[in-house]
Amino acid sequence: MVKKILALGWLFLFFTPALFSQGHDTINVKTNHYSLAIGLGWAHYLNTLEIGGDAATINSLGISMKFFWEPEHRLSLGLETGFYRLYKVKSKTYTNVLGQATMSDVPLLLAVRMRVVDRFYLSAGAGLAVMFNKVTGIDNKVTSTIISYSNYQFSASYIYPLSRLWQVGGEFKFLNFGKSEDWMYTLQVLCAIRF
Amino acid sequence: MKIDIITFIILVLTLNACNKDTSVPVPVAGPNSIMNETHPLPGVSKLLMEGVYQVVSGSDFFGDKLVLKWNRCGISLACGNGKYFVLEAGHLDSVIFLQGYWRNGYTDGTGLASLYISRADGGVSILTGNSSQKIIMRGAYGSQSGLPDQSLVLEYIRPFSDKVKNSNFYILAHRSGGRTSDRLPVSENSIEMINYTEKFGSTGIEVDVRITSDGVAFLYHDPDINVRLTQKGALAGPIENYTWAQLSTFVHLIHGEKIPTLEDALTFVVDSTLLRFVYLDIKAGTGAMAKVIPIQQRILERAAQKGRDLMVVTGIPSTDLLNDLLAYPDFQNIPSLCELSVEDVRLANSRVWAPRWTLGTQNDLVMQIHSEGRLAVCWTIDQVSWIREFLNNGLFDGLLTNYPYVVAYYHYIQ
Repeated sequence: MVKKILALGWLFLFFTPALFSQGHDTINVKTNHYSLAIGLGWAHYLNTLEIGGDAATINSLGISMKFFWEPEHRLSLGLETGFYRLYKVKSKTYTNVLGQATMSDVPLLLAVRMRVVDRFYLSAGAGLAVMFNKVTGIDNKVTSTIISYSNYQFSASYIYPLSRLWQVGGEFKFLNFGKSEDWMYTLQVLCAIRF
Repeated sequence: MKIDIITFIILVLTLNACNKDTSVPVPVAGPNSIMNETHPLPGVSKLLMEGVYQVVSGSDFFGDKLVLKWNRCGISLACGNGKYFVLEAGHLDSVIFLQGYWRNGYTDGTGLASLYISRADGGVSILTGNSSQKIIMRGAYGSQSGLPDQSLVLEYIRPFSDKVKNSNFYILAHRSGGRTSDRLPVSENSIEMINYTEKFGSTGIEVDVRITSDGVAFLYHDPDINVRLTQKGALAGPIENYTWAQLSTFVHLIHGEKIPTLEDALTFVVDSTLLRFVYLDIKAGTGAMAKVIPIQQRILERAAQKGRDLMVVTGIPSTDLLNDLLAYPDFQNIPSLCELSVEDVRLANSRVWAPRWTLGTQNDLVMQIHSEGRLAVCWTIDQVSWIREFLNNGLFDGLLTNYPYVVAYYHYIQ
């Protein structure tokens, strides 16, 4: 068993550099070390509502913005934010007044991104989220702002360089908002500029 | 890559590994329970059954003694180690059957319990109102939903002492009867919990009072809407931001109950329970007294009309609320409970002084309070050793606790 593990370990070490190695030499090529990306696309809330879950709208348009420091390294470090509407729930009061409650989140995450193979990235991030809860239709409009301190995301993205400056791609991301124990995933088109 | 995926899956599973169960399931006997065929016991029989019992078999689990007390819903059997029984009882011919469940209030331990008193073991004398025969309960208890398979035999030792019979001691249950975090089958601060708490041996309750943005007093403990106390719903944030219509439309308590208004909860106490004491623990800020006191007065009038022995006191937990009360017209005649100093109790003319338990028994101050015709209760005392200490060496008229069955045991066994 130990021999097998050692053999597999050696195989992994042997193949990994070859698998992940850069396809072309970058020496003497001026590199850009920062990127700013904007994403736009479908956001889907994983519906765990016990009250009003069957009357919830859980698909919406989400936007994201990321700033990354990209040293000459497989890892990048950055900040990520965005705006996601988790759900919109309509419900009637006992007097038959139709009300509507929505929950939207703005995450503010510190993210680490890793290029696993050429143009393919995995990312994880953790940080704060500002949650906006709004009720309309019943009595006066009420908006509550809540800070969630424990939130994280996991994402996979494909980024294609159009030029030394511009990149486009797609990203699939899971987001967790700890305060309300909410999960959502997004599928977004990304547009990035490197500088 | 495979290792990364496995690591990712382990991470996700770890992050979601918290126990989400909100209650310990109450074991229920099958549909063919003998209780379906039994008849209710007369009042005199109930009185004969009340008292202290020796645990002949099962003492390694439940302790040496148990205290049996009838309540509005059935029988409470309290142990000294935090375990208790919730039982219903009835008779078939001359045999008395008791069936229900036991629970450890400090853990998740629970199971079915089934006992009977045969004709020869006291069944006849209980039913005829004759106290001459020795009472022995025989039966068994189980674990979780399994059938009772562990022997349990209880032997009646004595009735409650004169000290207990003549006392007006209040066993006050926290958060309308019990905390949601103790994984009870109904939610804290709900009408359902008020209906349930007498099964724990409670004779009074504390309820947490908040005020909606449109001025409706309601029961809820925390300042915000959260998944600890409520079912996951569309509202979040400070609960007092919302109007009553918004709250009642979008928020349910953790076990599905509606959040009750203070008026509905107190009306239920008067109309449907035998509780004798309600402590309105006001969590809202200045201005709350003007909303709470009119409800308190209406409820006290209702209780008086129905001939109920019920004390409803408005809590004064802070100097802000003390000043709020002092600004209320004729505040000296508002029944209140002051958690502040004895001087503040006199200033507000509070009927009850309620210091926190960490200040000790304070017998000198309690005697002063008694000499002024006021009561003293202590909050919120949960540890068995301290409950015993306060009951044996203190002079309080009641203890507020999350574990009323423990207070019941050490009170009734005196």
